[in-house]
Amino acid sequence: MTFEQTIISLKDKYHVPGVAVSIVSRSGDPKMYCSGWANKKDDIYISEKTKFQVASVSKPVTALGIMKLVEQGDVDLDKAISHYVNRWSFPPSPYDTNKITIRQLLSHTSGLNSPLYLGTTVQRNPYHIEHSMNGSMNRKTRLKVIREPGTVFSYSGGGYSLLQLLIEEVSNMSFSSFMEKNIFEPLGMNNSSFEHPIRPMNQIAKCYDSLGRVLPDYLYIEKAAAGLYSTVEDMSKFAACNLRMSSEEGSDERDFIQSKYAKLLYTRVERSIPHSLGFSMLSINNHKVFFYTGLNRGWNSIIILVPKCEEGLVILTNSNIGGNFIYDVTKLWLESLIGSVSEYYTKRMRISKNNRLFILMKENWYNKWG
Amino acid sequence: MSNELISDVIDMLVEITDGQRDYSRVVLSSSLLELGIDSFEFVKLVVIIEAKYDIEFDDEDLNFKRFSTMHNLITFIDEKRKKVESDEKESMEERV
Repeated sequence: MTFEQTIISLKDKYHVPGVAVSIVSRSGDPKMYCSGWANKKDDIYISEKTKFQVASVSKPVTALGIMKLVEQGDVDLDKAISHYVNRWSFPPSPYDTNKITIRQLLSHTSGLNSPLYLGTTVQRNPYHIEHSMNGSMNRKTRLKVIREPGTVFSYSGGGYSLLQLLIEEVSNMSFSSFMEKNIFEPLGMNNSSFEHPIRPMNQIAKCYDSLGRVLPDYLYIEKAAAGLYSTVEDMSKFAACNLRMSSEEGSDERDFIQSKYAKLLYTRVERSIPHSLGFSMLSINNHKVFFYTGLNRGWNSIIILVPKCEEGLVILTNSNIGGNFIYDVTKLWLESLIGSVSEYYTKRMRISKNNRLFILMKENWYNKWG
Repeated sequence: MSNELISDVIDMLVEITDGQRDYSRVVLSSSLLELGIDSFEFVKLVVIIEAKYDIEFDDEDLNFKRFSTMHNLITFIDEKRKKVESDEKESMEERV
């Protein structure tokens, strides 16, 4: 069975409406495989230019934006976030919030809690990022410090919401415009945006629940953490750029960030912490593996890079049930590159298989919150 | 397993504990727990081992409880070194 046939077979097996998969190499063209529906009702198929929500795969893109500010000398990684951000302040806590640095926020070591982002269906979206951070939405969970900053790794999307404010306050631009100018334009990611795409309608995928019913297009105002709209073609460009920058030889003049800053995106912040300033990372079978998984309501995605093998994988799906497809394809691809990958690692990569009943229960639980 | 490697690892134990403990009577059957190594010190030891031998511990191996004795740890390092050497040789042959 060819890889393409395997993809179609797994998509059907798990009842995922639409998938876009890309095997990316450091220098050559990506091999992209698109299958299924972008929009069942209007009979539109997934293509290389179909826009998906990539969910938390937004975070490494945001990290690259932050590193751009560091390179320009506008941000110091070890300065407190409170030094730069005036529009929002931490609620009272027993911890010294002036100790929270940009480095910690990027690597999920700031001690912040992790409010669950649920998106909003309000069409004329009245919310700002501060609403999310203040707990006016998302089950009313307020962003706060719950551990001593800098001591442990604890995943927090909220940290990236603070980084969204940082970019806006330092650049004096909207987060979306800054990322457009500094990341998407230089990388040629012409179909990517942190703004909700309006048209062309035939290029924006609909998203579906575990029973294949269309879901609202939930908007995520937590753009830096979860709000990127992109295509498999554009995410392949992002993956290829990261493969070049993370190579042993380091980046060169073709890339847009100096190698000493690029290196930080691929080096653990501490030996025992599975995160760099750009990616989650694990050492598996003598290979460094960089990744981010994404899960928004109606969308599942992953980016994964193995620089030593000069290959990466991007998977975008428009379904709550896409995680099962991602699990099988990722494991198949990764094991073909680096050998057997145990459950110890798949769990840490936050990829897992779940039955439809479990996902259905989760959907019902989310629906209670809007 | 070379005596040099054993001696090197003992020197590293002394280094990570700032010479505060006596490791002159370490034997291969000694457990890391018996030697008073905790998880924090183990990570410090891993960093030094990785730098010296140009190897990398997998994440699963960052748990010091996986190495019940000094013998286990030293065998692990030895095997990692051999793997790196054979990978390098393979890569050189591919280039030629």
